Amino acid sequence: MLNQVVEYSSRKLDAVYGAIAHPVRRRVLKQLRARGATVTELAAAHPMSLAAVSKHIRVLEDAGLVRRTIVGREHRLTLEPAPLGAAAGWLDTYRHFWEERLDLLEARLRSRKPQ
Amino acid sequence: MIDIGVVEIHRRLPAPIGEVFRWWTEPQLLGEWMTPIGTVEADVDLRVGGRLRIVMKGDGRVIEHTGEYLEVDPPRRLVFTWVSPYTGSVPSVVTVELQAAGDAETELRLTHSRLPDSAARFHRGGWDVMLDRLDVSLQPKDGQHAG
Repeated sequence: MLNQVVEYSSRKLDAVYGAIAHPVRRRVLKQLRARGATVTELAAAHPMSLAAVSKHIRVLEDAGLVRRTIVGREHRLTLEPAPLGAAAGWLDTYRHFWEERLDLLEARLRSRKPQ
Repeated sequence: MIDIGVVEIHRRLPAPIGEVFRWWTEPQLLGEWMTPIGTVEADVDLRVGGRLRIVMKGDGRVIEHTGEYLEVDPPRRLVFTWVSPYTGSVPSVVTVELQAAGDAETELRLTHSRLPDSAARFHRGGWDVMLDRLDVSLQPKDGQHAG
């Protein structure tokens, strides 16, 4: 299991974590959950400039959570949940790590205990 | 920082509370169990602000975990940061809470928080559930700020 932890790119993890750690970006992900949207459509729901929303969208794209398709002048965005799945596996790995550690602690305590 | 990634584990351990606390805080005893591979070296400066360092070796790898004690309240409570090359840039936080269960046993609750993802708990529920939970994590909450 440790190998999984080791081999999970921490850079990628940082990108995903950084992306979902901002309320505006989480709101964008939620907007895209139901269906794809254009940048303009997404921006309309936020009390900030189109440029500001675009910046947040770029962070989501860099983390691989949003995919952009350009058709003519329209930039259409869709949700890309795979990176979160990878990160989910990573967190499961930590649970296994502690379960295993505590199994061993329990065994050590038991074996040294005169019953 | 929003606390979104949390692993929580409960155990009943077959030793008195004071002894369990020692196994969590004495380098030699930590060395008996704190690694899934090969051997482990532990350096512990057990005081608030003191550092801990756990180096796991084996399988051709050396993995260093470092941290700082945030709370040291023997034999009941231990809180420390937990940083490895794989915990992301924000220090994760491990909280160990112990409660005596009779003279011979101890209830342990371990909480590993600030892990850089919240998805594992909602893995089965999938993406929709996860976003709902992220929403919940957005709500102002009752002052839970580890560290």
